Amino acid sequence: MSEPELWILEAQSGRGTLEEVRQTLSEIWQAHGEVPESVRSEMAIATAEIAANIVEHAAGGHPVRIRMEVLVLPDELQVRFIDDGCELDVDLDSVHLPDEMAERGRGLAVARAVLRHLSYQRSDDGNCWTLLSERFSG
Amino acid sequence: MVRGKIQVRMRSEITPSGVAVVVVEGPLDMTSAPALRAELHDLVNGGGKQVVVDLSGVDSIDSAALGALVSGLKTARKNGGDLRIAAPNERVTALLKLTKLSDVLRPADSPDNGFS
Repeated sequence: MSEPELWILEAQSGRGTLEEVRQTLSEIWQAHGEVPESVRSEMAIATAEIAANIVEHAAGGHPVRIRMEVLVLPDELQVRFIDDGCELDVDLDSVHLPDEMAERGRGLAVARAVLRHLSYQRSDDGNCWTLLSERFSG
Repeated sequence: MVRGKIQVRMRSEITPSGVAVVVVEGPLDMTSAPALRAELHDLVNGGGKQVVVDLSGVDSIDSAALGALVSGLKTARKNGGDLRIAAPNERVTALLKLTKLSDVLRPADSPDNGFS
């Protein structure tokens, strides 16, 4: 069984942030063939939504520092997004899909639906999102 | 169309049967969604009633891009037309199901039979 491995992306939020997140995951998948496609897919969806949320809301149009940590464990992935943007008014328990004709507001509901766990905390370091994948056998 | 590092390309064409087809290549996300929304609105405002968005070259999509597609659908319907998507991959199909948009953004096998 492989040792836990931590991957870190540090970036300024901006137009290239989502591509950097995708690129980081792509490198992790190349190094960790044991991560099943279903987990890759759910993490791709969830990280895209959370990163987009940070770029749009925490940054409020201004660049913030984003740190994505991906901890690859033998049976799950733990991802943390930390940013130094403004505090968010988030109640994940009340997140739900909007009307089908809505043009916005699906992101957090999507991330929550695909993950085993999603949480948001505000600390002295800023905003911290924690994403846990489904468990898998490595 | 190439935008920054994202490298999403879009090209539009009108088929002989009058269907406006937008071919998208690259990731569709919050960065590229505004361009897609603008392209769809331009097509509809330019007289395109039946619009097909060909997603065969799209490997990933997010909720912002789904919002752009819904926006295009609403505009098309307002003008008496409709919008379909073509050739979504498994990830796109899964996200459509997850967001309960499968019945709204209806997939077709290819642009040619998008309105059959």
